[in-house]
Amino acid sequence: MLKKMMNTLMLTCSKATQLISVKAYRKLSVSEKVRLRLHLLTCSACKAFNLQSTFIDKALEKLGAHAAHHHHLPEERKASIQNHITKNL
Amino acid sequence: MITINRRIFNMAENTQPAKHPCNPESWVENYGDSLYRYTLVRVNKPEEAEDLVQETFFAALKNKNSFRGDSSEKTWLFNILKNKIIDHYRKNKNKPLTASELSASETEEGDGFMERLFKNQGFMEGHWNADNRPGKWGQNLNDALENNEFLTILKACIKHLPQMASAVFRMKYFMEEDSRFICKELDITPSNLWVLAHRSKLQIRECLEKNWMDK
Ligand SMILES: [Zn+2]
Repeated sequence: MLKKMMNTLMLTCSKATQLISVKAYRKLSVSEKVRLRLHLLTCSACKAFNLQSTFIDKALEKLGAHAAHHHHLPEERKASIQNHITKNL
Repeated sequence: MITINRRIFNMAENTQPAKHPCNPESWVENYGDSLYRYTLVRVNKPEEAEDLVQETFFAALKNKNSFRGDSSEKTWLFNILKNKIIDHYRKNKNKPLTASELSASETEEGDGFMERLFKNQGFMEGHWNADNRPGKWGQNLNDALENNEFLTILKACIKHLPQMASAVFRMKYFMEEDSRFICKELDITPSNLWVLAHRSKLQIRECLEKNWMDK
């Protein structure tokens, strides 16, 4: 009985982290939000996961935006593509 | 009636902005590097990026008559490239898995990945295993974003994701596609997507903690 009540109210860490990962992809429902917030109040590991997840999102955004600034398409490849274009124009 | 329509049509055409030019001879020089850089972070290997850029230029050349000049040449080329990259993800999805990918396999349950992180029995079922719970990462996380070593480690961590998880991750974060599009292109259900998204995040987090925080 107690366990059943706990289960409807309290998320496991596995469920809580799932919601944290998924919230970048879809809006959480109100009940999901409430239960997640409640879990984060009492669980320091998931709180850390939440912070780290947000940080990883930010880092990925940065990686995507500033990707490989100093990289160049190798000259050989450029020459062979250029050659093909000139020939087939 | 017909003449009026034609007049309206002509007016509309006259007021359109100037068409963008199309100069295939200077494509490689003008856009080769930027297309390549865009691709590099979205695929695993430099050779794959080179091939995709080459395919993009060749496809564009073949279809240069369909370029109508409404958008710039650059935008047009990038659109072709994006489609090529998504095709590339889709093709990879159907390739047989390598041994290392099998060991860290995909959407299937019961491969031990979640069981390693979370207790799978007892009153605390579903809670973190003590050995694998997230540690503290300290206060200066934002400094890491400016740190090349950190970004290199992050890239390596993404490279180690299983193919499908990696495709989902890259489409989401590097191509900014929405969930419905990702599901459609990779032919997976939303619940597959949530599982993959979650596992990618857990795996990247753990990889960063092991390889970057422990330094
Ligand atoms: Zn927790």
